[in-house]
Amino acid sequence: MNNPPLSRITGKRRRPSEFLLYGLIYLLAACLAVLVLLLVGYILVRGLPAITVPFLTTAENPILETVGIFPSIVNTLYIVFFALIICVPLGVGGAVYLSEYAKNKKLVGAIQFASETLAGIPSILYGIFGYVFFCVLLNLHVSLIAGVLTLTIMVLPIMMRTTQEALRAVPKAYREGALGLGATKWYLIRTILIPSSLKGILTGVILSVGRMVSESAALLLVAGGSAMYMPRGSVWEQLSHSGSTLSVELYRYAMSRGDNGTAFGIASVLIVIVALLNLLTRFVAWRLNKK
Amino acid sequence: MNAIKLYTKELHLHYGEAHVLKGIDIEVPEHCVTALIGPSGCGKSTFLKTLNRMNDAVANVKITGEVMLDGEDIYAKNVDVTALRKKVGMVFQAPNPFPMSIYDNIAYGPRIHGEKKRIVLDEIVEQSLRDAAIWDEVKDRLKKPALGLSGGQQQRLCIARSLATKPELLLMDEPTSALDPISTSKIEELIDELRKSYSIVIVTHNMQQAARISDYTAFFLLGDLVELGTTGDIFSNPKDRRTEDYITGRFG
Repeated sequence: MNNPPLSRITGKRRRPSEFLLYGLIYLLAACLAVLVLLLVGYILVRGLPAITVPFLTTAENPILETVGIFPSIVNTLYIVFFALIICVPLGVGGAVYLSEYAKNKKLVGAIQFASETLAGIPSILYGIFGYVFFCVLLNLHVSLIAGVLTLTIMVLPIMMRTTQEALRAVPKAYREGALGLGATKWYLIRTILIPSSLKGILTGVILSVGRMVSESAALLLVAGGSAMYMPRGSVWEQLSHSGSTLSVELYRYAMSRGDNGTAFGIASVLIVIVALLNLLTRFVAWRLNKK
Repeated sequence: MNAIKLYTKELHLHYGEAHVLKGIDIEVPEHCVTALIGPSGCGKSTFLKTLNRMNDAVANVKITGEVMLDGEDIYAKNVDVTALRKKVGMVFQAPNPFPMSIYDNIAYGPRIHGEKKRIVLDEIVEQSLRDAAIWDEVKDRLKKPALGLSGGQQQRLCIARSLATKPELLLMDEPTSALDPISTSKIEELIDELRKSYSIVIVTHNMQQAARISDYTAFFLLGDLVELGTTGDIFSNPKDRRTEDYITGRFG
């Protein structure tokens, strides 16, 4: 009898279309990686020579003509820290209200539409609003605190949106299980919904930090465009004075002085700060999850 | 016959336009297993959920009639839903352990109801896990995530979690439909054990299961309670033609 030849499953064959697609995907991934590395690498190569101990630890001195960005580093951290302290509870609270308590579907829809629109408008509009409302109307003057408040309303939609998405992703079975055991709504939110959404909330924090650190136009208007003095006095005193953040300084050095060396130095510091803040956020998340 | 733990009178449930439960009168005796059978969509799961007011949160639901638990109407205005759900525990179709440790899953209910003392919680956790016949499998990993357990273990964990609030009535919504035969038989043995201390109402699609584990069986069809009787009667000597047709597999 003549049996047909057995089909073999060994000996891996490449299917041409598969091969092509893989190639394309790897190519794109490589492009992305190269782009990021080039960008970061270029900034660091141009910027690192400008970074010295006095650069990091002193203020600019126009008489001695020395450059220092310490006040701007402090201003940046202040603004990010205080804006987060206000906008994380507000954003998470707002999202919890919208997705768990609000009964009026039309109202929820309207708020969502508004917050999506707000997330998309150019930051200079927040700057003008912040200037007129916080600096002039509330008499806060051009100050870090006005910057904090302006950035808070700017990133609030991001916080709310990401938290809402995270809450929505919590399986219905968890809710049923908890309610079935007699949990009240607030108990359910506290013990199941917020802990399960922690990752999403943290994504919101990271995105918000990125947006705040990179903001220059709005802060130029509401928080001030220079930082000539070393920080002094109480935290409140510092917040009530004007001051520039690193991004604003970067703009100032690059645009009004053409001092690209310093600008790249500031950019390098910014990259490091953003990386550190992200690591810190992840660490906080890890600690909270362990508890 | 044992004392009546719960009964309903003229219980209607409307969901929007749909009339889902059409005047259910049922009696659930104490320390017995009452099985609810019937084709999909006949209202048995909905009925189960009215017994611990899990339909409260659903929009557009209107419930009329009486649900009397130990002489109290659970839909009365002054009912504390938290206390009701402590007394009437629920086990769901798919195992739904919370994303936390085995210990914290079991302690979740008691903590809702204000238990904070570590020693008391330790004791409740151990006793509940023992009662749910899963203690030996998890006693060395109480701090490990509950989601790492197998499906059958997860469901027994969920039963233990319900037991931890010391309920008197246990509602089970097809608790074995997502499980393999071995896990299913473990849960059936467990139910047999639990009837000594609890009153149980169980929804099941599995006729053999109803016959094996229940004392009373209620047959639901299109929102009506067609027949309620001892499991022996329902399966060997049904009074209603529709019950007989369903049990012998002529529809459903």
